[in-house]
Amino acid sequence: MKDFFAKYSFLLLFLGLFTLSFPLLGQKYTVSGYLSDDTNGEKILNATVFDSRTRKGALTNTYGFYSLTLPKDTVRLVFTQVGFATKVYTFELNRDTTININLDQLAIEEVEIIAEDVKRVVDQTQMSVIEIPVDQIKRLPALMGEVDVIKALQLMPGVQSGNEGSSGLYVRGGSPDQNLILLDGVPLYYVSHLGGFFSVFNADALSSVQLYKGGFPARFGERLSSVLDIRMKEGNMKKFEGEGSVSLISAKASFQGPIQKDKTAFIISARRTYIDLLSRPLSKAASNGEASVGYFFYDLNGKINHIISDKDRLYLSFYLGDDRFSGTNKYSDTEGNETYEEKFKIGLNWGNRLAAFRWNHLWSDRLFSNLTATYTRYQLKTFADGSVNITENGTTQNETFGLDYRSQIRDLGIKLDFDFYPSPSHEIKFGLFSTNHRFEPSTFGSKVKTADTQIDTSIVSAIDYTWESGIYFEDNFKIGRNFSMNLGARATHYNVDDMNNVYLQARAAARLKLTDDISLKGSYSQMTQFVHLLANSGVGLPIDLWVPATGRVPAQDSWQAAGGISVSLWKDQFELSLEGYYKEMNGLITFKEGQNLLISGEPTDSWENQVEIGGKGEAYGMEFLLQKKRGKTTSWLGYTLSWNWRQFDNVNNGLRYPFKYDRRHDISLVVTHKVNDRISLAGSWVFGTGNAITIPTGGFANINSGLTAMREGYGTFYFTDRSYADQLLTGLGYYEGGTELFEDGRNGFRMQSYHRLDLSIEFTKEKKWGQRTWSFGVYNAYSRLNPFAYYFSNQVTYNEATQQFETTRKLKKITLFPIIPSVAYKFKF
Amino acid sequence: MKTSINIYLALILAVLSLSCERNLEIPLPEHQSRLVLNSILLEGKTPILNITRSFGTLETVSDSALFIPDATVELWSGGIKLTELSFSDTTIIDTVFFEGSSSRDFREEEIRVRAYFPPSSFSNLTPNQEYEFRAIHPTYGSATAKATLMPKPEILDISIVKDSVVRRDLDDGYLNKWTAFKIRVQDPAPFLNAYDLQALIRYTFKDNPQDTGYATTIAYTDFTQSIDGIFYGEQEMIKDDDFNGNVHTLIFYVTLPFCCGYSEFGDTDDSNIEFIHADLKLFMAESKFANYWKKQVLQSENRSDGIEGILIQVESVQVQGNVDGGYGLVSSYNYVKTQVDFP
Repeated sequence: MKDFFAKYSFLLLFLGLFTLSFPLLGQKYTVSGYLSDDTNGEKILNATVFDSRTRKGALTNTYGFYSLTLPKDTVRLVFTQVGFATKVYTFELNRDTTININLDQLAIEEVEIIAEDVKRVVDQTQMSVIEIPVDQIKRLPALMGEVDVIKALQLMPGVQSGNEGSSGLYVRGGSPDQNLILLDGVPLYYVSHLGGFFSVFNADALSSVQLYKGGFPARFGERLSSVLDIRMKEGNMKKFEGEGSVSLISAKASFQGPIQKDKTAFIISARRTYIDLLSRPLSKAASNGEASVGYFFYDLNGKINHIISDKDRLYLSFYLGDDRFSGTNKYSDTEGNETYEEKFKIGLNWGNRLAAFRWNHLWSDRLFSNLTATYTRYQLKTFADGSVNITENGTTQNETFGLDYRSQIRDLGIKLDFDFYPSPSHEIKFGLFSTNHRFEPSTFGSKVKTADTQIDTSIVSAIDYTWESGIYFEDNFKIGRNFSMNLGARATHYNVDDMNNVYLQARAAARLKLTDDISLKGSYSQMTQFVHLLANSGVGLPIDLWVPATGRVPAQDSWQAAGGISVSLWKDQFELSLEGYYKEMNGLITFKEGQNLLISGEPTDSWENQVEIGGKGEAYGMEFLLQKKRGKTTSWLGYTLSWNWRQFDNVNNGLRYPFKYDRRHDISLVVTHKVNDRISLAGSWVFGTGNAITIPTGGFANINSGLTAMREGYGTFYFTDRSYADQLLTGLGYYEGGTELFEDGRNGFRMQSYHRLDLSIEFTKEKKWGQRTWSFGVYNAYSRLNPFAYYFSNQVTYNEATQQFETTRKLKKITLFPIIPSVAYKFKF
Repeated sequence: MKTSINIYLALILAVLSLSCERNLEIPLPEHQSRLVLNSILLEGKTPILNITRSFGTLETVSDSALFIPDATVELWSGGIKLTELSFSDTTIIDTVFFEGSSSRDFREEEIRVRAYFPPSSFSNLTPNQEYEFRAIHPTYGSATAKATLMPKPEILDISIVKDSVVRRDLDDGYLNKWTAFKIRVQDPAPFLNAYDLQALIRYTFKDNPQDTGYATTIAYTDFTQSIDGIFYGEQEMIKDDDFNGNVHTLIFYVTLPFCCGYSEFGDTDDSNIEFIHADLKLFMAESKFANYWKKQVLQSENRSDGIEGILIQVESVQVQGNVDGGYGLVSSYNYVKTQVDFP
């Protein structure tokens, strides 16, 4: 019996609180409906719907739907969202009622006078969530004028960037593969363009960005460290409109409007860089027309949104984006009767394809459902094709060859989510999901055709199919006025080969309001992840491989506990939050010492042999965030103090070591200011402790018998005893300055700290046809030479005095971006 | 694939090259130099010990600055001091055949090293016996290391399987053929040891039987296919972790006819070559010897020097020796020679 209570204590607690939280009151009715933007019909998510008399309230869900069950009485409903004029609706609630509300967007100067009851962090049960309005993201200074969602998130506490310019997210000690990045609810596997300097998200196509760092609601799962939930715009139901911009490296345009007014709308958004337009003619000129090299990336987002009835809506959204690098080379020569022609073409393409179909259905004014079918695919493809024609005396001999390589991950998924509002105190979400993953780590093909040979071969690495299926349940409920909780659980069945396992994950978050302006929060979440990323490169190359959890390389799991305080200051002008967290991760993998798929890999062999498994991670720290969300000047100050460790039995002698991006201090200060309708300013300053890297502090020479130099001169006949010993001790002749000593262990050395100031100014003018904005920016305003990487440079000199060669080593650093100005022209109509 | 990636890497390298580079005056943690002992004990050979010192990463070093000629060195076994060793850079330790100007021309070289030697009266070492070097230096402290002189490996029988493994490269369709040498051994129980094979392949030509030749190779133990589709042999010693003390068949591979890179026979046609026999030398070394060697190779292949290391980051390799109070490796191996005719 004791065991029973111990085993099911979490469930019993859940049920107890669930029961307690149902008020024992009389007759009630439900008011429900959708909140939309009056100007374009876009749904407004996470808006507050609040009855000021009973002080009961609810948030709109991802699709703008709300439901509130209240006692029969006069009701005064207040609808609020930041950036919109508050609407108040008073009526007698004596039956179930549907009220669809359109909110008007506020001009920026009006924002200051928003009335009471704006959604406040203090009131939310959820903690460890970052939400940055897309409009604010678009006003932040950006590298080369290219606005980037991920870069904006990196300015928040608890979220760290990797290297300079990287679009990787390192959330509370996690690695980039541990982030569930959702675009309209569909996972994206690789979110970087151009070696990681830009992300795939075109801000013009987005409506909302939310990042969960901890306290994960049960509806999210399958990643350890964060959930980034990005929603695309739905399309304007009222009128046609467009916007776009031209910056130093790219141009983009979006167009949206009604296909049938108030019934069906679309949006389409495209972006393309034009680095190739410059690089191709330059490379041709440099090679006398023989070679041409080009690179570009593009993104295309689209969505159609159709209202079937008051109860049914359909959405179809897609994204496709690619990075394309290609090079060609032509060479010809004629000598006497013989003409030689050679053509060579190479390419490296990578990109995502994503599609989602969703059906919203309102079963009753308390039960909302969303059915989603998803497809996502990330593919890396590279090829090399060549041909040689030799013509002699009118006879041509032709040889062709081709190589191609492909790595791919593809998901097909289906989800059914329900939102159920049984009472004002409860907001219940539950659902089921199933995803089929197809992993194809590498496929290699080759074609060779000569006069006497014809080969057409392809080698496919083992293709793995895995299934993740499960259910979740969560209840966001209130007990009394000051206490609220979100309790949930998620069960996932994972299948790979013959292995079938079920993983249970508990989630809990709680908020206790001490006063109207101060609340304490806490959360606990368990997460399990069934994919691993074999990260090959250090600079965001697209050659990392996604692989599944297998019998030999188990799933990753983690648990995280967090606690904090939220305070609203100066009549909600400022919000302050302070959070502490502790996270443990298990089942991590890393490449074995000296291993790398590109260097010593074998695409047809198992990647499982090249990794260390069973790694542990430990991350803990404290995050401080002070925000000013309203007024002409908005800003935030973030500070993170953190520790981040890794431990593998066969790495660093089994001792724990700092993760590469263990960053003790991380500070960001962001300010945006609207001077007037025409001019706005923005600035950001960041500081971060230097990355942890492994540096040899000493070394010794591989001197055994002095044979090495002689062997290099003459080659060796190995059938002697001493030479064999020497050969082994000197590493089969790889004599390069001896053996390095890493006395401080893995990642025992710190790079210089990183800091940078970015500034931008925008000039906006209304024109007859719409609105234009000139945006000027400067990245790294005081040109701090931040370290991107360190490397050793060796110099061997001959010392005449001692008649000996001397080796001198220097440690050098590379800085990527000194001060970089940018300009962009934006338009809107 | 490799070509494309290389070009892509070159593009990024170009970006990096265009970016600002600075010499970084940075105080790396101070390195405390210690003694580095290196020795391989061989049956029937004089035990010699190389002593150098370790150095700081940014220190300018030369050979003479590293060799330590003034240490006090002793050889111990079973708690008894056997002898003292003294420094010499004139003693001839071996005679080695080197290739001359052509592949048919070999000549002999005398090998001298800067090392510590026992007195000429010192008798040879005994297999299965553990020996310990103890070195003391006034500046660099003391260091000790032990090794057990390995016995000869015990071969039970040998067979040759021609073209045992056949793989086709994807880049040009070349057909790799590896001939297997299957050597059944009785593994000695007390040691964790590892095996390696050197082969000298003798051959003749069918159309000219008077002309013979030979080529040598260290045999492969595994194969990998690189990402550009080419197969490579892997030279790793075979460790006895799974068969310690038992009878086991070791399988080594030799590429025929391209043992040792001889390509005079043409690319794929070996029909004119008749392989006669192989002179084999089966080595048995301590496991720590194999581990040390493997880690050293890995480290030198993945050296952090140069700008290229930034693009493809490989986890750094730590080489673990067996010297207490210092660095390096003192170990041992032994071998047997045998000959086997081609079927």
